[in-house]
Amino acid sequence: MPASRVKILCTGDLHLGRYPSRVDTNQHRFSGANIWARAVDFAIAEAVDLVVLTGDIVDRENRFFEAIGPLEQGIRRLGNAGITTFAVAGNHDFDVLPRVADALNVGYFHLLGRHGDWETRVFERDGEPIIRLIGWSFPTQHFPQSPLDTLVRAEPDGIPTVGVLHADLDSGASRYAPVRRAELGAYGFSAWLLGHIHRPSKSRALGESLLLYPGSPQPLDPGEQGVHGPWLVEVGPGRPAKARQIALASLRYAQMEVDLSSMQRADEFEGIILESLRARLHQWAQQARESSSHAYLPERAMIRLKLVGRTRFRREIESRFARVIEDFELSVEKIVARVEQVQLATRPALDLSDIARGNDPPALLARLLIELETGAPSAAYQPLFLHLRREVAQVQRDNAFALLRAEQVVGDGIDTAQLRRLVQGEGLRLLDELVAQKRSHEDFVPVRGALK
Amino acid sequence: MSEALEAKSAPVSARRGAIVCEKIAVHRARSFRTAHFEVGELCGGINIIHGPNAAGKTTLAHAILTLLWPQDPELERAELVGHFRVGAERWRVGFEAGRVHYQCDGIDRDLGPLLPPAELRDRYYLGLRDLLDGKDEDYAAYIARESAGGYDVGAALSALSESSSKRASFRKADSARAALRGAEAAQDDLRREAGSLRELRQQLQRAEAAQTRLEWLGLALEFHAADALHMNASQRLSAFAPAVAMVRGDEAQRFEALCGRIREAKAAQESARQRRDELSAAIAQSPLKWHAEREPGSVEASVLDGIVPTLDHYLLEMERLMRDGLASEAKAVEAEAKASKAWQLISTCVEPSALETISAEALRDFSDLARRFDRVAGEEWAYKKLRGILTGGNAADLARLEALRAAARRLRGWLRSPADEAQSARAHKAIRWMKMTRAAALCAAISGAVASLWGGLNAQELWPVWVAGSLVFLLLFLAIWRALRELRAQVDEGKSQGARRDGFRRDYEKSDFPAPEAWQPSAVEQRLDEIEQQIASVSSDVEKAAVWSHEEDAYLATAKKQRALSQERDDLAARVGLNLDLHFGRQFILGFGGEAAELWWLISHIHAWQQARIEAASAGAGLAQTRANFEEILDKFRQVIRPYLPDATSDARDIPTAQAQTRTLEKAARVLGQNLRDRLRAQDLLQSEEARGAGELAETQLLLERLQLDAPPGESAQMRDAELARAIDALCAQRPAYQAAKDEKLAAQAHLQRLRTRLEQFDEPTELLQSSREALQAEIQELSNSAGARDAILSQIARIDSRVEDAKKSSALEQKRADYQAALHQLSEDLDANNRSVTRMILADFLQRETRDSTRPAVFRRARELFARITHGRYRLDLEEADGAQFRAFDTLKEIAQGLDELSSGTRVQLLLAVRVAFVEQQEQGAKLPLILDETLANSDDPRARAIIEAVVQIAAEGRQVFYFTAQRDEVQKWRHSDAVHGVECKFIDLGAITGAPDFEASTGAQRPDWVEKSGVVYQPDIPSADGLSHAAYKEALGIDGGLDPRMPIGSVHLWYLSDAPRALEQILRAGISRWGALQNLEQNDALQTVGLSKAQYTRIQARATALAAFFEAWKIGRGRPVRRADLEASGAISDIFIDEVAALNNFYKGNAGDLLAALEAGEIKGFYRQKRLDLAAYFEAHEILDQRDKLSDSQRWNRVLAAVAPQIAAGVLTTQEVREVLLRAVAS
Repeated sequence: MPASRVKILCTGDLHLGRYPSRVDTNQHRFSGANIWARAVDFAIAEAVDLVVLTGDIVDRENRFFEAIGPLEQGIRRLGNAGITTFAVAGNHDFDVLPRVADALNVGYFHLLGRHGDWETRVFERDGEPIIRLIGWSFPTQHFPQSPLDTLVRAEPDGIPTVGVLHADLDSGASRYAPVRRAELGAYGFSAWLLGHIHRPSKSRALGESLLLYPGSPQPLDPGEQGVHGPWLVEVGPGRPAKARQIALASLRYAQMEVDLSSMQRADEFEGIILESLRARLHQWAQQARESSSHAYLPERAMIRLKLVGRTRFRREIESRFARVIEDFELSVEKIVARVEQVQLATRPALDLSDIARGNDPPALLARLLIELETGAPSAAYQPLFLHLRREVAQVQRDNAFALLRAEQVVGDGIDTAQLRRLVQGEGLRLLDELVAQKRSHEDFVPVRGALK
Repeated sequence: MSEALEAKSAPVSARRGAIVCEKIAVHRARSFRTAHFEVGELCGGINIIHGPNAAGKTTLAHAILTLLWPQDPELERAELVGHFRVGAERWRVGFEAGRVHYQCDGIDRDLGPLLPPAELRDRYYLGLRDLLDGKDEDYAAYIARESAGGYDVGAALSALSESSSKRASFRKADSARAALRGAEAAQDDLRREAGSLRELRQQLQRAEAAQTRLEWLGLALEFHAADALHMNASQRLSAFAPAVAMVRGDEAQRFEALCGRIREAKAAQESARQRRDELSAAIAQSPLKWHAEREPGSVEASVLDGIVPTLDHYLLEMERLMRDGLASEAKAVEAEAKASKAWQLISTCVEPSALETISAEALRDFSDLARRFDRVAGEEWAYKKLRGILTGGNAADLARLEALRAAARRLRGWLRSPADEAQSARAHKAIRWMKMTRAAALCAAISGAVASLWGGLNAQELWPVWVAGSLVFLLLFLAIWRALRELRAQVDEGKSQGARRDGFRRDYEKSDFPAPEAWQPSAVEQRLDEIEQQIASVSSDVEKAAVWSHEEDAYLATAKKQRALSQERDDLAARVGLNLDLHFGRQFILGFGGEAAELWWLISHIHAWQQARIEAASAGAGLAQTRANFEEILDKFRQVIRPYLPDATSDARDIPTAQAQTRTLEKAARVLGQNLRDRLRAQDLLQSEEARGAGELAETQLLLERLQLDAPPGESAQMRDAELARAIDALCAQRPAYQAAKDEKLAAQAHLQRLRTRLEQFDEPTELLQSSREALQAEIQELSNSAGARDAILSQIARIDSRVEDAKKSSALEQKRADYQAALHQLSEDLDANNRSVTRMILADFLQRETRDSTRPAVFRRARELFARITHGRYRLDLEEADGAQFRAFDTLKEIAQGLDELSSGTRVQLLLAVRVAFVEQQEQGAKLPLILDETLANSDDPRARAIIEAVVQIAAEGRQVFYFTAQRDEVQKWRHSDAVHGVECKFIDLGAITGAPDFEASTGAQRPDWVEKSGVVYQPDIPSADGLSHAAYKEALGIDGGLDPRMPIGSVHLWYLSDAPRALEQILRAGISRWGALQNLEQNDALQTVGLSKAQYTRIQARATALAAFFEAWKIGRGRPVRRADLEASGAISDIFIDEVAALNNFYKGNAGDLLAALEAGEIKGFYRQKRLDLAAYFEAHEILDQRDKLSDSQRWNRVLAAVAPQIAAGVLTTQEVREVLLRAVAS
């Protein structure tokens, strides 16, 4: 019976060969390969027992040598440090990882569950088995069944067991190995180390099994917000497994809402943004110091700003967008933050209901906006929306955007919700402009001739 | 909001007063030649002001405008006066070159009446040229803005426009995609190549195996060849005699050399023996022959190293002693000479006996005495010099010094007492004049006083003058008296100064010193300088004398010191026995201190004599000692050399003899030693040569034994040696061949062994060793191709491995993917921007369309009404806002809208007139201002002119003064004959008559060739009467022929088709309305009253028009309209190359779009692309040229017509029968 805990560095969804999107630079330090190298350094420095990779280590779009090179190098470095690496293949690298394993052909790298067959490996320390790893790899790019269907339950023998699986949790219709939380918990494993979901999450299933999605150690697009990095998992007999995230990611995406209601002058815009951003970065630094002994901070923060609140400076703010995105850069405790996108969701300072009382264009527009805010627009606006849908679809069918269609970035048309958001946004801008141009009709005020 | 605006801008004419211009006077106008004219009695209605060109119409019009808006005058330099009536007030406005003067009811006012701002002035001036050239953008923009309640939706849209270049983004994304695909393709290629590595490595393995086998086979072949070579070499070696094997090759030379060396050894033995004997003889003859038995070294050691150096030492010692003796002898001679010289100098004062007894202490006493003599002599000399300095000049004279000082004081006193005689003279002169003036002033004052007293007593008028004069002179007298007193004081002071000066002069002249050349300040100053110099000189002499009196005692003490020293000298001389009298009787050498010098001289020479005597004695003693030493050394020399000298040699007496004996001994020892060594060497050589000869003989014997040769017996040594040499040469000649054969065999044997050893490392050596040569060669041939590919395969594998390693370190694909994603994102943003832009445009269009009609301002409605009325309903005023607001005229007959540029000039003038009049009416605030029209009727035909006149009359009728300026008589006639003007006050003013311009008739007609005068009668349409005519008959009367073309616009349908009441129709036609569109336009502008049509009548006509329109629409289904060439050109689907050909084909098919497209599809025009045909079809469909729907049947059309007018039928406005009749009329043809 093993007496000590096993330290495992767990990560997955590295997507080596794929550079994070919406970063203002293509430097190597933000690549997945660099973060993988950092994780290897950490594992060696921390003297972990095992490294477990939960699939999608290599990005399918770049499953060639560029991704394999850093992976092999890292595995070799781990092996030279006496650390064994276990991995399962995901939907992105189902065909690559077996090749890598064959090419390496070393005792310190094991690909578990080839061909979709569950495989068990026992890791020993000083000749004594201390942990059992059970893994399953994607046999094809898509696998719409639950891999647990073929996993036979075994009687507990006192050796902690860890399941390694690339799967879609609680998503029944998924094409990517859908599994259910209850099923995983039923096996009574110490932990399930999962891959496929890029957002890190840690939870417990029935029976105190740890369910860990380590997530991508480096976020790959603005949707992957929050802290990223590999996880340090400790598994031991008779105790629940513990997991702690190591924030090694050099990049962090974040969305930040900034309320501009307090703006009194247009030139206060940059100052408000700056202060909000600085406060957020300080908050990150504080959280990092408080949450972990490894107070890693990202080197670059790509911020997606959402501007909210009531303001009459919408037009002025819009005119400053480009400058904020292009020139804005803030450094706080080694974090360099840049604004990646600005979403203007402010509302006019005027009350829409007031404006809607008239019979002029702003009133008509205000009525439309009120209807959009409160629900679906009335039948009177249906021709307008039909026309809009047709014209927007026509724009999207333009040959200039053929690549977007080919890459499935956009479809042939636009859905109702998108259309409403579009009308809301542009309607507010138009309304702002109309309200701003309102001027008095004093052109014909009579004057008296004066003596000269 | 718009209602509020309407209320704000509602016409206020009804409740406002008007400004009426009653009289205009133009006193001066730069632009007008006539100096002054005046137009009076202007009416408040319409003023037709006519006159020829240059009659002053424009000047008058500008004068009116200038008087109304003087702050922005049309005539800046003019002088104008206008009289206006504003309600009950009478205003007079004067304008003179920019200065304005207002009077209201005769009272000046600072401000004029309330008027619109000057910017709106143009609205009141409607000149034909301005209307033709004028722009309507401002009016149209205003209406558009007002239509939107003050909002400009188009401007808002423009302000929000954002630039995006979707094409550029697409190109960028496409380029990034291509780069990505390229990188992926390269990776694919590499991957395929990497996939071939396994096969390549297997090939490499096979090639390497083949190459290894080839190496073994080659080795086996080589073994076979080496074995054959070894066999051949062994056979060739065994053919030689055994003795040849013993031959080394150099035996002949060695044998010859041995024989030679044996001969040389014998000769050398003989020579050495002879030499030894010669040397023994020479040794026997040596003077040192008794040493012949000793070793040569011992002879040389004992003689050369022992005896000869000793002798040389003695020789050197004797030479040194000889030199020392000579030197001592010379020194003694020199000392005697010095003593003799010293004696000669001092012999006169010194007794010879005393010289040697004078001690050194006595000489030091003399020396000390000499130093003291010298010091005292120096002191004496110094005092004598001081006495010369202090007593060498004038003798000191204190009395003279005092006298000089007193003389100097007097001269300085004289100089300090100024006496300006000239000033004194001037002062005396001034005193005299002042006294005279004072007296005159006193007299004048007294006279004045007397005169004033007399005048006062006699009451003369001049007595104040006299009083004043006497006072003046009295004041003058007092002033002079005061000045005179001051002047006198100055003169008295001057006199006192002069007396003191004379005193100084007299005192000086009493002294013995010479007087100055003149008693003038300069001369006195010069004399004072001389005396002061003398004072300085005498003062110096007095001071020197005082100093010498102090030093003279010390001078006198030096003589005493000298005498004391002389006594001391004499005492010392007596004590040592010197006779100084003999010496000191001579004259001193230097003239001072002679005693000291003489003493020094004497002491030095006594000391020199004593030293010389000591040196001479010392040298004589040294010479004697040297000679004794010399003899001692010579004796030693003899004792040493004597045993080695031959018996005949005598002892040496001097140094040369001794030297000769020494050299003789040295030479004999050297010769004996050398001979002894040479004899030993000769003996050794002899023994050596004897041994060598024996060795050579033994070696010769061994050589012959090795070559298995025997010396032939009984022959001479020389002959034997020759015979043996020949035999040896014969053996040596075979040596190279034998050695070559032997080497060849050994090499072959070694090679064979090496190959065997290597082959034994093969797994099965026997197989290879036993294989035949042919079999081996065959197998080599078989494997060589396979092995040859190894290098190529190896290189290929290395290249692929290298590329794979490079690829593993690269991030090119990752970077390109990132670039592509970024480009896609940019493209996506462009799409968003496009979507936003489209959404904004559609929203803006929606807002404009939805708010347009409901919010058009009153000014627009009024303009539309005026326009419709002026054009008799033919045109409708529209406002186009799509691309900047602008007016358009909608032709109700043709149902087309035209911009201003497309309209005829008449219609354009009418439109702009309507707009401006509407603005004047609707936008004016304050009093109504006069409206000025300048030949506005020109360019308008009679109906239009009549309409314009009616409109103007209506404007005037509402209380506005109107000016109509024209140079055309026909226009005047139109006004005169217009019925419309009867309702308002109208006045015709001949301006030419007022300003004296040329005759009005002169400018008529000739300048307006396009104008056709209608006999002074305004055009009235020629409408036949409907009295007694049926509806059908009235058609004929109207000249209407045939039915209607359903493709025609419904607006252009003649009202005959829509009306069944001929009399009512006649009434409408007489109002100038003949088409449905015009009537409808009037109705929409609430102008039906102008044609006298009731609302009910209009409703019935409208119902018929609706039915007819429905019929037209139904008829057009499935028909489309004919294709025109313009359609083909506008479609954009036909290039210039094909346009003529397609147009000809279209004519052939009579404009039938379907037939034309079918012909194109059938290929009737070669090379016309299918895509272009499809584009053309799409254009035809979009523009209702091609209607591919099925045509409706008659019943279907009927049903549609009934459906269209169902409400009217239901309302009883129309019956089915009437509908049928309308349709029958329309299609009657």
